Amino acid sequence: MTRNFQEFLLEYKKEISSNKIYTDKQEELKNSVIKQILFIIIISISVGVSACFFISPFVGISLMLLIAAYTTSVIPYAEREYKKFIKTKLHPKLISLIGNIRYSKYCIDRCEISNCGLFRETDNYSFSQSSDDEFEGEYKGINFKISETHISYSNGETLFSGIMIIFDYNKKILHPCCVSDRKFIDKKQQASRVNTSNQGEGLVLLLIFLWDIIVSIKKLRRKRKEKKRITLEDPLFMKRFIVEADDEIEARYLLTPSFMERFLDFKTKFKADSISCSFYDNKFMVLISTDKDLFETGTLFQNLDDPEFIIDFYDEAATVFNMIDYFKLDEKTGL
Amino acid sequence: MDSVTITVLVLSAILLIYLYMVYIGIIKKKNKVLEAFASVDVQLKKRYDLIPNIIVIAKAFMEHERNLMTEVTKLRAQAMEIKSDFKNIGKKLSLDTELADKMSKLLVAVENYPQLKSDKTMLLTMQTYNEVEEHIAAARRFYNSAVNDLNNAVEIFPSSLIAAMLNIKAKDFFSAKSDERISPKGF
Repeated sequence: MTRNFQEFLLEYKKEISSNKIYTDKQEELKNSVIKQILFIIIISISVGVSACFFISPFVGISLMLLIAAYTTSVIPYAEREYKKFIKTKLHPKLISLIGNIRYSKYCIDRCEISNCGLFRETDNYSFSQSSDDEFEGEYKGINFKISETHISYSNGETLFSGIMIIFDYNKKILHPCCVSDRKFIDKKQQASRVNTSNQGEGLVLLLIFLWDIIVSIKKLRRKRKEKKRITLEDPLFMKRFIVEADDEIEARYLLTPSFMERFLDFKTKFKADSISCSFYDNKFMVLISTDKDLFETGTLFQNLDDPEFIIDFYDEAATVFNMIDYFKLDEKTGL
Repeated sequence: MDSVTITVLVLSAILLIYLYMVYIGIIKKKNKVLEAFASVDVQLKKRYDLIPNIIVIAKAFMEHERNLMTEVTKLRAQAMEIKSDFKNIGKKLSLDTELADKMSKLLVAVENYPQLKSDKTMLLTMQTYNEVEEHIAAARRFYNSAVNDLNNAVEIFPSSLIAAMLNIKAKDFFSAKSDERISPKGF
């Protein structure tokens, strides 16, 4: 069962009023910011005025501005402190207020990422996960895991950045099937090119060239074992996505015309930059690529009682529940 | 050899290679249609195997649907008699459409028998039937996609010439009747 926003807001307000640590911490940090800014302003005026008298007005004003500029670092520092506090203390409670969902560190591991088939081992990637945004939960009998994940090459070039959601799937999946957004494929290819072009010069480049030839031959051999590209009936779907699977019938069994339509609409409805999915081991994985920092609440200077403080957090978490309803993952009809 | 002969030879070789590639493409497409047909056949066989189970359970409760059940049994027997040959595809698919239609009606009629609807074995059988229906739908889509590829090759120049030489003709698509799929409620 999930709470709608009004119910969630009510529970949230109860939590805020019964537990004063959030407002106390906010007040403490706000006061500290004000004190620091006042202190800097006094110092900058004193130094500036002294310099005006003893050196020159130009030096005095410059010094005054230079010291005053330091105030800009005070607010972001306090903001970071406050976000850290809210993430560790308030977010676990907030998430459990929405429905049957809880924080769970490292719920999606590398093994799961390589099993999904959207990233190949030959991509030679490394990956990092922001461990504060990982949840596990259950809705309408469907277990799910969410993780804010960043996958990159060893040189730091990004392959994927966004949220990764894994749902239990009620259809038996014997052969994996991947649906990759063309934008996602382009990004992967772009990152791969940068990864190889940054690796050296001269002799090293020659060695890399020779190595590339060997890798290409290996790839050609492997290609026979790789999944087949499948063309489905929906031209709009095929324009935006690439479907790869071992079994054409199973791919069509999973990607029904109505699923394709919903998946297409999903991209617009949830304002995702790019969206890919994979069916494997009786699981359904969705990758939503976005540059936005997800599962964040309001700022230090925002009132905790203001619904705006938690609305984004609620919307993003509720998206997962909506997805189960939207893709009818709890139903066995496959429609 | 002068340059003209060499050019002619090279061009002929390129043309031959091209024609051979087109030939390979057509044969592959033709075989894909056969593969797709075999897949549809496998899925249809699953349905035929499942129908007697549904009929046995339904018979005990659905007194008023005897005619419908007899029709289903008759159609199943007819469909099973047809040899699994590509030549019989039209016949097989039209019989299957009819059978699926009757089965849908039967499963919708289950709604009127609450005792039967709540029977665990019936529920499980109907879920399995639903699953098989989805597999059949997927196999038909695969078949249609394979037929579409083949028909394009058979009808578009220059592959149409080679197809005509090989006597490969365009195949019929499988089209479901609009009222064919009535999903049973509650599953």
